[in-house]
Amino acid sequence: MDDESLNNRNIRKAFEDCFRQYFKPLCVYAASFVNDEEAAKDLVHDAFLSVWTHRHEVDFTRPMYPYLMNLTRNNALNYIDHLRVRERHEAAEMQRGELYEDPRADNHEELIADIIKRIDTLPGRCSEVMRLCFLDGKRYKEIADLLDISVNTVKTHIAAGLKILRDEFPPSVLLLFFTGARSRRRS
Amino acid sequence: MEHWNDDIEFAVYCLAHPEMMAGEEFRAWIKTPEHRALFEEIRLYREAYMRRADAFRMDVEEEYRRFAGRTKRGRGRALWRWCGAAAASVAVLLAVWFFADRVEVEEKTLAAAETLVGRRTAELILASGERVELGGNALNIKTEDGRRIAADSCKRLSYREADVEGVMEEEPVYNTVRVPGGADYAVELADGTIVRLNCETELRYPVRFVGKERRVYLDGEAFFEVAKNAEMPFIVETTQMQVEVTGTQFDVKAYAEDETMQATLVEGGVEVCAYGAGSKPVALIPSQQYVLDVQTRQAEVKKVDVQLYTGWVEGMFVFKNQRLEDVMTMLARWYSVDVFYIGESVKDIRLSANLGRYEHIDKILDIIQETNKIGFSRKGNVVTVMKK
Repeated sequence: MDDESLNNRNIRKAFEDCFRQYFKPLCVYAASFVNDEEAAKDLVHDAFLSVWTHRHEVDFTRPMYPYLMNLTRNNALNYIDHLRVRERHEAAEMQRGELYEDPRADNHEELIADIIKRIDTLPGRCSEVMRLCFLDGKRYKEIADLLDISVNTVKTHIAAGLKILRDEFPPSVLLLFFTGARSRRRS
Repeated sequence: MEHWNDDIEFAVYCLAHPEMMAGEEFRAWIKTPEHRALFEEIRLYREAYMRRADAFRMDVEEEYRRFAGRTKRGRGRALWRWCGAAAASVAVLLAVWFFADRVEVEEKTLAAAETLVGRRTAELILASGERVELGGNALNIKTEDGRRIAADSCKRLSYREADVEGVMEEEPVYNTVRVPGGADYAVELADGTIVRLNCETELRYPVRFVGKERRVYLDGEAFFEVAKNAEMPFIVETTQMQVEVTGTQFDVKAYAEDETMQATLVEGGVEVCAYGAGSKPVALIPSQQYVLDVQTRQAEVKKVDVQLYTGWVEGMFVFKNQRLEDVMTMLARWYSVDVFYIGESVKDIRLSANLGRYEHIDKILDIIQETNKIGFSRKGNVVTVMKK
């Protein structure tokens, strides 16, 4: 086997590994933007396709996940844009900034895992309210009706839950992607 | 505090309804750095919740295969090694019995293009003659004047929501879907009828059904789930016979080059009629199969195990005590390979098996080989079969 085909084989191997390892996490990432599993998969497919297209220029020895996240996020924002064809001021603004270089993005997987662990140990009702709110995208009023508690109680749970998460996960880590947004709301 | 809670709720609501994010309200809201930070924070929690809820059911192997289907060069060799690992994780039901005979040896090989993994793809030919490849990107297919006629979701082409209101009704517009070897695809017609097309199959159908009947043209094999409509019978025309129904499930196997044509009824009722003088329509009841011998024009109706003829719809090859030659013919069509036998007797070995159609051919051959009665050697797309 000559050098070129050996090289091609290595590239393909690296690419496959990448795909297997990151496809699913990226789908969840994309779904957190677009809230549609099928669309999320397609967006991730597109991200991998552009890596594949540029596979000879891509350095597979560098961390791929941040790069893929970046591509996925841009695809997701484009997709959202297409949901309602409009001028793309803010979405374009959100996309600005080359994030490939951001080393903190390497921690993303770890960070998510930590958050999941913490969520599991939140007090029962609080965890439930948080799940209904963040995962199912329910309104406070809907959660209140569902759990037969008052809207104010829902708000209290959310505030308590967020406070715990915020205290334990520094905002600098949370704000991985919006490098432009240095300032922090309401300290 | 109140304000803060409203912001959280707004951010969550937008994430759950992405179309909101394309709206002015969101765009104005997110301009504030605090809002932007809050938005990302909430998105991150949301992601964590989604991950934990394991909301995403998917088969990464299948996704990779789909991906490889989109990249022409990614298919060939890389996929083989991939499939070796993939196959191990896919449950393959297997039960094999053999009735063995003798051995003679002689070998033939050829080399050619390889499509040795089953996949999901097809080509759509529009009335204008334009060709569109299906199974890659999700896409909307439009007519020349911009009307949407179909949506392709990578799994199925659908005419359900076709924007054809007000189209001139006199001249039906026909589209054709052509499925290559080693692939299958599904089409949802304008009336809601779902047609699953097996490999090397062509279906021609009107974009919208008008008039007194729903008539489509088939060369190859397809499984029909016909939407009920007693007023408009559904007719499948093939080169040698036609099948007429009002609403039911059945399989038609009618490759123009085959010696026999079949119609197998799963549910409901159909009427099959061979062309030519003197042939009368035959009504089938579920589990009955109509077989037409193309040469002799003799038709026969028999009771069959429908699973044998419809397993492909569920992505399986189902064989029950079948001659190896028949099994290999089916595999050859699916994987686009040529098969050579060393000795005639090997063709009559019988076997039963349930095998996954999206496996690599080597995996399928390995499983059959495990019976110790049959040996295979594959070079490129030529498979040589011999006795062990």
